[in-house]
Amino acid sequence: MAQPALESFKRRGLAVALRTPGAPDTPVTPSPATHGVLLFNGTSGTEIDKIERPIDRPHFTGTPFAVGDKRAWIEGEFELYPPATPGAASTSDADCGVLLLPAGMTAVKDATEKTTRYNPISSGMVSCDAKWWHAGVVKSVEAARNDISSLAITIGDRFKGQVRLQGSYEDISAEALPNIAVPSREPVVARHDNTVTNITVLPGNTPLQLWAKSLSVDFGNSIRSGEYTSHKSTKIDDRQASWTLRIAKTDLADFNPWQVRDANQQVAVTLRLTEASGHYSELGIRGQIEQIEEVDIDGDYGWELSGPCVASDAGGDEFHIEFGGP
Amino acid sequence: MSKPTPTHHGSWRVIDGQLVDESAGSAPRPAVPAPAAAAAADPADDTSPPAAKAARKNKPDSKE
Repeated sequence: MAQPALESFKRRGLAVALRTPGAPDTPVTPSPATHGVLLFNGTSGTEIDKIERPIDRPHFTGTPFAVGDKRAWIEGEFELYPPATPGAASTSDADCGVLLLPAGMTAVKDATEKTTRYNPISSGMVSCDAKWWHAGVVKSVEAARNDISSLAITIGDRFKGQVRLQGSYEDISAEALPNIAVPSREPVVARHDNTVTNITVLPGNTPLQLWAKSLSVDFGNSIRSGEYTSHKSTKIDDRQASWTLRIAKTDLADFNPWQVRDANQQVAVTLRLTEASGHYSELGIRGQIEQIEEVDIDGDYGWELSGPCVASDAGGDEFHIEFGGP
Repeated sequence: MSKPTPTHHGSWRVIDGQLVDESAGSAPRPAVPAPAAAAAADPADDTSPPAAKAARKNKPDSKE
């Protein structure tokens, strides 16, 4: 019963392993040596279903309860950058893919175009197992699915997003923070000379190059825990993605956001960040303009456009993340 | 926005402009029966053995 030594709150780390798509009920143990994930400002927590027993008593009292469904979550920021050889037979999976796939995405690799492209899917989503070590306490989050918010390329910042992994847990135990091997890649900062933004009014108009400040996407995944006899799972049962684009004013003759919105037209926007090596990361959306805010961007008149991401009839194209190689 | 966007998980690859799920169970391309002759053959005149027909039928789905 000795009091353990104090440990810094900053002593924390994450490892995530994807479950095999064909065997979603078979757990995988994340290894600190091979499944380390670089997370920033990570936090975690647990949630429970409270089954109350409101017993009639002759005195005032709080209500005792039993614990039903138990859930654990891990949140933090992560960075996105291209794999070594996008589209190739190997080294073509982005490091962030381990967080993107359980958020309801899949990867399409094209060796000719040298691209690895992640797009949202609606069925057959991969789940993952995660271990979060925090100052001598370890949480094993099982069969987790993810939500991603504030996924953005912003001038003056790296391509990054906020992820939430949510799954079930059995117990919380003691385990020292291991030596976690994480990717060492440091992505570039988006600047005026390595980024290009285009907007296309659909269908079929010519892309118009904009001066943008940022493009961001919130996946809006609805993560739910489902429990039956002999079966429990954490699922994504809906996705209502939304986008936000901050741009300098355009010539209204070229692009008039009010006109586009009021005509119920859809737009496609891409923001591409290209590294010195020729590798690039692209965030793209397909959606409708709902809100048009006239905003002060570094003292200049600009617009903050936002709205829902809307897929075409084919589906899976309401937003995308594309990594390309030279 | 004309790039393929599958709506379910798979090991997706674009091969010769076609979207192929390499996790779909059957062998990945290049496809099973001998290349040029089989490709050129008219299906109505197909006299290849049933096994080869079945193998072709099981080629990865490239509908998207």
